[in-house]
Amino acid sequence: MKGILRLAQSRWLRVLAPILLACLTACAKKHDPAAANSGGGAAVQRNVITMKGAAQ
Amino acid sequence: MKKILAVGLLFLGLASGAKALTSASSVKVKVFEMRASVNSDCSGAVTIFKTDNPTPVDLMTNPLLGSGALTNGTYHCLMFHIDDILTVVPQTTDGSCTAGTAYNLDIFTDQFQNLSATPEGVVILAHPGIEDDPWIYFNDSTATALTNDCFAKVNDGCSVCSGPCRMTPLNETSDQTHSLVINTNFKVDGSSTTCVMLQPVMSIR
Repeated sequence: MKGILRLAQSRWLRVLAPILLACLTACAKKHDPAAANSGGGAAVQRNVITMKGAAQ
Repeated sequence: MKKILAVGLLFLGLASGAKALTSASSVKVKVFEMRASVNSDCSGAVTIFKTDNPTPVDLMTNPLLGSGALTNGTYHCLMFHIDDILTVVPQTTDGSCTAGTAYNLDIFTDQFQNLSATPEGVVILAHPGIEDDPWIYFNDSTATALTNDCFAKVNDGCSVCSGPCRMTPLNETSDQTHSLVINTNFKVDGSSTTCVMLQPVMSIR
């Protein structure tokens, strides 16, 4: 328990934690297609084609 | 003069009686699948819709066959997997075809002239009166011809050819509605002992 508290109070963790968090957020965004498209990438437009039947 | 007129009328009567043809008041068809390709040879197609158990729909009522997503592009080939046995009700009584009676009529029936294949190339042979479930193809390749029966994506070189039917490429940049036309006007034939269907004229609109 003491070890964990000491780790939480350590200067290294306070410096590294925000960097680690920023890194994880960036990675998550990269793997989310919706977020990737909204970031200026060319989104593929999909149209709906409806097919009907006719006798003439 | 009267003699010439009489001979002419007799000739016309014989000619018109040579084949009893009528149209249909109802044409029910089943469509299993539709695919579209940006290539004139129909390669690299994407599925628009697909079902294993399609409900028969009456072409006379302009029914919905299915719908699906397509990315922007120009599509040069459309293909449909259909049941070749149509349920047809003749418009008028003509020979062996009785008005108001439903007949199951095969449009992929001639084993010497009709030949089909799946988009992957698996051959489908025609059997009279049996559900063979062929594919029909529409594209803008040089293989298309007015005499083609639409059952193959390439021309097979037979006398009345199985080959693709002509279509104008579809430029898909927005939502669109199109129609698969299977025109059976004057194709219901009652001149033999059983009511049969001549090759309908198929197109994309």
